[in-house]
Amino acid sequence: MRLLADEPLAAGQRWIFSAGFNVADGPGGLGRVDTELADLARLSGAGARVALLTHQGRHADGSARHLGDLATYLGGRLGCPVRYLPWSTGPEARAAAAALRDGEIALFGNTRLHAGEERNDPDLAVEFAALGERVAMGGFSKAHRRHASTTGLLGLLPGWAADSLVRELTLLGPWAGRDPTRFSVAVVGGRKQEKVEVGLRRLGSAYDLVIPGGAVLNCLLAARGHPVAESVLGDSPARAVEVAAEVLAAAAPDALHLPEEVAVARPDGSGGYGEARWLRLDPRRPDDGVPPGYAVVDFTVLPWALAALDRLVGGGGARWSRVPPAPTGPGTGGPATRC
Amino acid sequence: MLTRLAGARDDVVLLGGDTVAELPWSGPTSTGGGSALRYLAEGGCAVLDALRDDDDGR
Repeated sequence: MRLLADEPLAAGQRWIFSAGFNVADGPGGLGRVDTELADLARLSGAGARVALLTHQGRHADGSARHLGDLATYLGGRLGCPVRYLPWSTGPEARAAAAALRDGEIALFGNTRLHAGEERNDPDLAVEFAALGERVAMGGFSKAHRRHASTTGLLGLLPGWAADSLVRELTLLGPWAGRDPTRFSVAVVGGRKQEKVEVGLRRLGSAYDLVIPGGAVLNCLLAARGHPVAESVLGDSPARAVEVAAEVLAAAAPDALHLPEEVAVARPDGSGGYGEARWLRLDPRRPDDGVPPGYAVVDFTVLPWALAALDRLVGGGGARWSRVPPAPTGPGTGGPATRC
Repeated sequence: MLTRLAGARDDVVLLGGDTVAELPWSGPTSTGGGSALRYLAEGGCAVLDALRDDDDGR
């Protein structure tokens, strides 16, 4: 894998920087922008011409929007003007990209304003690829997506991993895969299907204990037979509950935390909740469940799971449970090397 | 749970844009939610595969 950090940069080079500025509104939500600043500054400082492409929101639900505010923010952080150009395809976008000056960074239109972005439309990828000659791939938050601005673009132009991407991989390395010498806990929530398919099913096989929340927990409660009423079950409820049932059937009792008390509240129809109250869920009585019109919004962690969290803290975190490594290599029967 | 884990700061990582933005945590964080899950569980991601294929093929 080519690294941007190793690449000699020069004035006049035409780079597309693929970023993941899918940020929440409000203060504190710009970490996905800030993480790209050093790479962008290095490109610009070397005189490269940078067409910045990012996604935000979703085309399907109309939440994708124009990103002029992010261009203003970037300009402030980088100390140089960053123009927002509302197109990412067509003759206007191509002309604007061709007219970039040495060292200039311009933020082009949100890739998710196009329906083809998320289905990796090859024609859309060709349009994006016309904005430069090389791709610097940042945006770790979208590194799992086979979209037009990610793998589609990389299929058309030579690509380099930005430092931001490499930093994330390095950071996450110690938490990746199963390490039999360390006690590990994964707390998994969210509403996307991948949180169940990957977070619950796959992490469940790599971590000693999974504490589910959000739609992941709701799917497990539904799989156990509890009525969950208005509780969020994610993008693909039937499939998610099916996966949850499989995990539930296979999990050891101390490997998966299922609460016996949840908070429920009544959705108000505008994203808020009211009439919150606590509710006991008896695992021996699956008919017990969330009353009609209510949704699960929180849960109480059982004492045994809190004690498990304390194990992470007690002796200096996960190192507390580290044991002398067993011999590894052919014939030794030792643990697999951690990736 | 985060309060409980404050003493294990260096051994806890918080994942995801919204999660990191909304929760009080000064320890390690990742901008990736789904991508981080995928990387932790499978050791790879589609973009990393494409970058490696690109490097091999050109």
